[in-house]
Amino acid sequence: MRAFVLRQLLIFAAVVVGTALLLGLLLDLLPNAPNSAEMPTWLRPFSLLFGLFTGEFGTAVSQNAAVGALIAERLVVTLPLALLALSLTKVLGLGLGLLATRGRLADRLASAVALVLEAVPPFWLGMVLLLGVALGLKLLPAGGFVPWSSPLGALGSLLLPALALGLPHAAQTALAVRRDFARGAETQAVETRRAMGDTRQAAAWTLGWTAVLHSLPARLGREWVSILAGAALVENVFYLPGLGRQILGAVAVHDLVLLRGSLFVLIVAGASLVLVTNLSRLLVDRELRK
Amino acid sequence: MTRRWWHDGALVAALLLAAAIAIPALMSAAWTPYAETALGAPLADAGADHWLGTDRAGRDVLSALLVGTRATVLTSLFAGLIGLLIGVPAGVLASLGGWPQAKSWHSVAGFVAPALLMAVVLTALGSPGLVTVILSVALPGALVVTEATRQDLDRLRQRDFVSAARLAGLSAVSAAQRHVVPKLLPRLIGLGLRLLAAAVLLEMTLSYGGLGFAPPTISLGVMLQEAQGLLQLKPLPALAPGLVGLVLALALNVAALRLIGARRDR
Repeated sequence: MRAFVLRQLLIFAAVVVGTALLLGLLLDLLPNAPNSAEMPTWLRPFSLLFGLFTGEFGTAVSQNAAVGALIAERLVVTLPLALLALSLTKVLGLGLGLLATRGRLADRLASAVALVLEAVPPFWLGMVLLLGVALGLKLLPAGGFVPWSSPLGALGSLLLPALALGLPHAAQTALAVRRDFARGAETQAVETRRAMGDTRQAAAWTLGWTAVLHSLPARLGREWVSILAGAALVENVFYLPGLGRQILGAVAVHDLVLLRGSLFVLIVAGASLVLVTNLSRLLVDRELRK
Repeated sequence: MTRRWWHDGALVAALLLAAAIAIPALMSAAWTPYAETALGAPLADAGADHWLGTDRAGRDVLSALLVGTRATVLTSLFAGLIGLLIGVPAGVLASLGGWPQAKSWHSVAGFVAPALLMAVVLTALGSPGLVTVILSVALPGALVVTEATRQDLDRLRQRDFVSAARLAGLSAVSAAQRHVVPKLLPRLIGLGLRLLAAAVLLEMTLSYGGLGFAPPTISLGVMLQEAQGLLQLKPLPALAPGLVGLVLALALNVAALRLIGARRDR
């Protein structure tokens, strides 16, 4: 167990330090590179790492504001959006997946939906949802962000974007759940549990859930990374002031200090939750706890 | 091989559907309903003159769609080919050399995040749109292809008929030619089709985010970006390019699934 935890922490540290150095070096090589004047040259590649602790990422020329503050005010949109999308993914995916175990028609339907959603970029799904729900039915706001001072309003403005981000992954989750359940029902363990007095259905149910739980941490990590990346474009569709959209904006106006800081924080956010999900394997995997 | 591929109705239908999109798009080099530079009334509604209406500048949306699809398809083909050309030999080497497995590369869909990251850095470094799109698709794609090739080859090499062929006196090369390559080939073609589908979707994503092609070049992603501002007023210019990309990617994915077999993950 100690080896496992140590390994995960090392991987996390390697990702964070590696990204910081790479972003620092790469963007320093440019002719119009930002110069962080107060720092000795040999320390400069490490400035992003220091920024994590001090919140100092320099000044964004394009906005004439401190990058740290700009990132903070964007994170309160992007992180809730991604978390909401991730929860929707799991809830809808589990529901659809369990439904798919209930019969051939439901199974076919889930597969077809998953196949179609796999061919849809989340941002375009966002455009379609926006046209359908926000304009056609006038149920939810068609873009923009209501600040968190009105929590319900804020959630309302995040719901459609989160749906656009989460639906494609929900379909994949549904397929995985269905597969886990099918696999659980095929194994010898069903017979073992029946010998111990379970009915066939109860045995398949327990084994199915065990399999789903086992694959959950790895899936969660992958989905989180993919949702965070896709969020940039979905934020663009819904005019949400999120971190991803700030990155795209920084690329467009070539504000390298802003780009570097925002990108780094986004990657650290991605790696952090992957670390947490990887460590949570300890909760579901008895072998690892030894 | 008792069943030839053209006996598979779903596969043929999917390939025909993909061709129905790709062929008019490729022919747009020679012919489009309106010339690219022809300007009509701006923001005209869809009608007999302009089947999908006109855009802000008065250009015919259908003509732009054909030209844009061509750019997207050609770029994706090129990026996909590079991915295969790097990935397949690397996968063969990895299998023969017994290199350690890279666990994190599960599916073609999984490389959206690395592709976006690469595109952001490349664009910041000043790389032109075409190069950004091709590199951001081809390099992560090559990793996926390497891993998939390696897994398929590992599985095939352990099969009894391969050992039997070797024991019967066939050299490693002829055993591979007779028994491994014919089984590997449809899977590789399927993998290529999936990569192509992913490339189409990524081109749309990157160019929409300002990380790929930019006007005056027309591609599906550029069209989506330009339609964004007037989305609520004129939904058709945003819906049409997305739908073309969706149907194309769906058709390619279905064809790939039929080639690879029922195991749809990995």
